[in-house]
Amino acid sequence: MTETTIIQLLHLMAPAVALVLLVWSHAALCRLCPSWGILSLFLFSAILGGLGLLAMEFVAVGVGQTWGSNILSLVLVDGPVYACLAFGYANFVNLGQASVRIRIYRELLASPQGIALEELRGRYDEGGMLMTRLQRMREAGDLVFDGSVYRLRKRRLLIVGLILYWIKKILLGRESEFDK
Amino acid sequence: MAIFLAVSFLLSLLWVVHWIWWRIALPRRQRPVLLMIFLFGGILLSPVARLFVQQLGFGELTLIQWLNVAIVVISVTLAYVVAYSAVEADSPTLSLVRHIAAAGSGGLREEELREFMAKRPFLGARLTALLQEEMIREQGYKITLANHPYVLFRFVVWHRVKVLRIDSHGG
Repeated sequence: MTETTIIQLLHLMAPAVALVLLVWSHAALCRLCPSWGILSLFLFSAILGGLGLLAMEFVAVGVGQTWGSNILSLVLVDGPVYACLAFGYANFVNLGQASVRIRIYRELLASPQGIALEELRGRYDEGGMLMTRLQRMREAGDLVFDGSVYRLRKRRLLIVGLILYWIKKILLGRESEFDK
Repeated sequence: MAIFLAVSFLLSLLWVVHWIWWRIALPRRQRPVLLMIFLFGGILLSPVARLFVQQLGFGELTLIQWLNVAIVVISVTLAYVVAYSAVEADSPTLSLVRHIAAAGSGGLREEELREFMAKRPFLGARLTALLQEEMIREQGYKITLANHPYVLFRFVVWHRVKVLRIDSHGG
């Protein structure tokens, strides 16, 4: 096997190695530190996965790749692939945390005879949904509550919201699923 | 660099196909169609990407480099399809954040937020989507699970309970 082939294989495997490290460390941290917030747990694991990615890049340099070519591969290919995989995993974890559909599925799974629509609405009304989200965002430091009003503290969720807003406008020609 | 150029070319072309398709007629099951466009479309257009890279003077990509192109296209596609859930259906959290941000430094009271949520029947919208996708069914006044494999849902719940050891409900 030539040096070039080994370097190409290392770059092919690097994001997968980083993802395995992320998933494994996330599971371990969730068990060892359950009191940490969901975001902290994920960020810490993502950093560990990122270190795994960097380790693979160093191995490629050790095999003989030049630093310039290595940094280019990291910035243009390996880094973005790891970011996409980490994003996918974060969303997968978040499905269990925040998805209304998964919550409905779990409720129905626990009641094989079915649930009356009104009962389901009672268990999971918009008010309850609101309070769950406000509490989650306050705990994560995204919102502040001074006893009477809620204000935005961190802009990270707003940035995500604005990106999605523009994608919806461009792709679907509407701002919200509730637009008539 | 050759991998990056091949991927950028492929993804740009595929996104334009997706955009045109969506503006002409929105598919009923959007995410499966999206996956089909990017994955099968990626395979179909790879000879064009090969010509593009050769025209730029990068020569022939090796088999490992093509595998790398495939991995990049697949991971970007999966990330896009995951993110697309929030395009297809509004996220209650992000809707709230945008509404609170729009109020500026004055902020919003709980009653104002309740009014905002009341205008957005998220539960009803998700139930309608589950009915349309035949994942649940109405039996008289009750709702039950349909005969659906629920592969993703089962996997999400299994991962949350068995791997992460989180017993509480999400949502």
